[in-house]
Amino acid sequence: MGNSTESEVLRKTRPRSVVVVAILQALQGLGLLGYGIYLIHSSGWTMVMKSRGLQYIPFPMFESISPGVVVIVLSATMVFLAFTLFFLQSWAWVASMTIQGLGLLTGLVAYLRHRPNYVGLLVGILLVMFLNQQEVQDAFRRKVGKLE
Amino acid sequence: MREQEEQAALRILRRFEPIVHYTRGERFFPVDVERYLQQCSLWMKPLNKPPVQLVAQGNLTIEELVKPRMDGFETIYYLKFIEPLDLDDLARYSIKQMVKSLAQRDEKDVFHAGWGRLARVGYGSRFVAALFSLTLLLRGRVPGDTAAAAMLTYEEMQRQVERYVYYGRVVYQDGWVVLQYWYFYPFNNWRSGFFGVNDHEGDWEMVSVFCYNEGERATTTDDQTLPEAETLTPQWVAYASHDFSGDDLRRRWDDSEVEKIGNHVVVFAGAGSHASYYARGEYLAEIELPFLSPLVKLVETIKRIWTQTFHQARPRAETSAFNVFRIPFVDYARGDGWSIGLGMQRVWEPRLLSEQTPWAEGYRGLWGLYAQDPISGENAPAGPVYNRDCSVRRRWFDPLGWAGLDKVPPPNQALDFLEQQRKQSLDYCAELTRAIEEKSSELAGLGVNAAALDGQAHLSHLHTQYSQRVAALSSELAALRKQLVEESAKREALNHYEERLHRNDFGPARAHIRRAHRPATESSLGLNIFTEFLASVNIGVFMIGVVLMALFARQYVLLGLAVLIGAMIFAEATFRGQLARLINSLTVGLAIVAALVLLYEFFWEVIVVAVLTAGLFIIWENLRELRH
Repeated sequence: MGNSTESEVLRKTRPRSVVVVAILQALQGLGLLGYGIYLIHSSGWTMVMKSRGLQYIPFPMFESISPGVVVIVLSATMVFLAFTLFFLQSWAWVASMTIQGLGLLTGLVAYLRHRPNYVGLLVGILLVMFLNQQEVQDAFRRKVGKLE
Repeated sequence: MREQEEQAALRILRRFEPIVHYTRGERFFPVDVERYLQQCSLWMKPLNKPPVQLVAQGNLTIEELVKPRMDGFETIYYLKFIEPLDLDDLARYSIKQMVKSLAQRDEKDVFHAGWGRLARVGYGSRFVAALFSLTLLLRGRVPGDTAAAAMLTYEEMQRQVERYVYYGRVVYQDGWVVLQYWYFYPFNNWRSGFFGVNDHEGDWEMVSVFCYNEGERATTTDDQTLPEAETLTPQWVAYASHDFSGDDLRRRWDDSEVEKIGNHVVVFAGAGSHASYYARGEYLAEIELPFLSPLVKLVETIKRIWTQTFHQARPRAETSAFNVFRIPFVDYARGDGWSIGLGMQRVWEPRLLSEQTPWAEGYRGLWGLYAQDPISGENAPAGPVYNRDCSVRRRWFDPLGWAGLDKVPPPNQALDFLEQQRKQSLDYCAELTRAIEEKSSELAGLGVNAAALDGQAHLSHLHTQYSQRVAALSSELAALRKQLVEESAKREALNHYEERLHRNDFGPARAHIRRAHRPATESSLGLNIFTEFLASVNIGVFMIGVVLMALFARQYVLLGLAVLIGAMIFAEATFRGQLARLINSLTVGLAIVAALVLLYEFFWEVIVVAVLTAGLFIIWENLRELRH
């Protein structure tokens, strides 16, 4: 392995299920990003900006765009974490599990408020199952092979 | 036993007698049964009737103890070592102890639970442990002041004659010379003195040393002439620890875990419990309550389904065996207190124990108070020979089997056994070769017949018969040939093993151990000052918080409770280094709830998708088969 590059070592030590989990999480993040943009757009933010400018910012407007902003921040974090998962960062597993936990919690709260997002729940369940695979956990528990 | 034999047995026992290290604060040390009996009364408890005193304290002799008694089935005989102190005596004793501790400050006498006693286990276990403590109010138990009274009596006994006694037994079994060292403690104060599981009067513990006679090629059970102590070579030791038995108890003499001073193994006795350990440290012992066993089984089943059916990750080794419904206790075997044995502050006085010892063989009752505890933890044990139900203890009638050593021949006989096995294997191979030759020739004959009949329309039924016999015989022959090859391979392995035995190479010392009982370390538990602090104050803070909320913010009680519990769990998980595990558990829990929601909302769709998937899978499998 004397001539191996870092990317070669990673490719050899990265299980396929980690790739699957990273792709799924990236797709989940992108999907949420679209949903967040839709929420902001539908909240009337652009119309307020056009008509009144920044001279007067009504507080109810913040309330209407905040769900969209939260979703966008969540989605950006998911996409970022998908990359860190792919590159086997040691903390990525815990961070992904936390974000999936938050996602599922949000989904369940939304369900209780009669605004269900069943697809989001399904993807969350699948990701939790994948993240709990022995192979995936082992990949993040062991140290990534050092370059010589 | 003749005097000469007794002297020889004592010489052997003394040569290998263990050195026992106790933990600071240990109050009870091994005594002789005669002096103990002088302090006891004898009682019986017939079924569904109140206890009856048979012999009063001061009148109990060994002759009285072993006298045959026929008071009906289910009658329990027991000794009563101590009468609980009255209030005056208890106050006097407490003041005396306080003055003594202030005046002497003898560090060997003071026990400190130290870091991590409370923080070792999670909330669930602590809650169950609290319930367990409450059950003591309902079930029978040794009265609270009995330990204090026992200490007073024991101190008085020692003041008259200071004596530390073990009962040694020399047993021959299958070529081994087994030395059993039995220790009788007047009281087990694990619960009242060291935050343990139980208190009970009388406590029998045992350490075994397994030797072989190097001077002899074959010592049989019939040949029971005692060898000279110097000719014995120790090979294994086994320490009794709670109710464990089998391979895990046993250590080879050359195992680095077995501490030795010359020929004397070092034993670390649990504080109050007196269980024996190989290494100094603090051991986590788990108790399973009978009424919680269905829950334990349920948790184990869920874990199995989670890891095997869903292929989910297994917990790490140190947490996998732990079950929240088992109650954890710490057995302190620090070895920082008094020591008894050769060259120590206190030395042993050996006594011989054998099948002829009257009190051992003749008395089948309990060696202390029968507290009527259905879990048995607070009832005194029976003697070295018997179990509580009067059946004979395995460690008495089968010391080798108790330590899982019945399958291991002594080293001086191993080569004989090996030669015997090789001879048996050779005979078996010769037999197999003969059978193969015969069947081979028979098969060839059948084959010729089948070939001759092939294609003959009028003999088709005969051809079918021959073909069937050919097939059956062919597979029989294949099995025989396989056995022959395997037997040859086995013989080769025996040859290699013989070479190793000639080099005195018995393989890895710990190969037989499946789950060793190791002391917990602070680093393995992830304990620190914050963890211990949190563990000490959390329940109290929680209760105060609940009261304050109930008084001043009643409308937020539920929300406040959730926040309090959540904050406590997160804080402790962080300090214990188990935050990742907690997050994983919570997320998995949320995923399960989400899955149930989806199943509830889309039940029929899920069924349809499942059936469709199964159908597609079957088609795919069949098509794959077709393609190949």
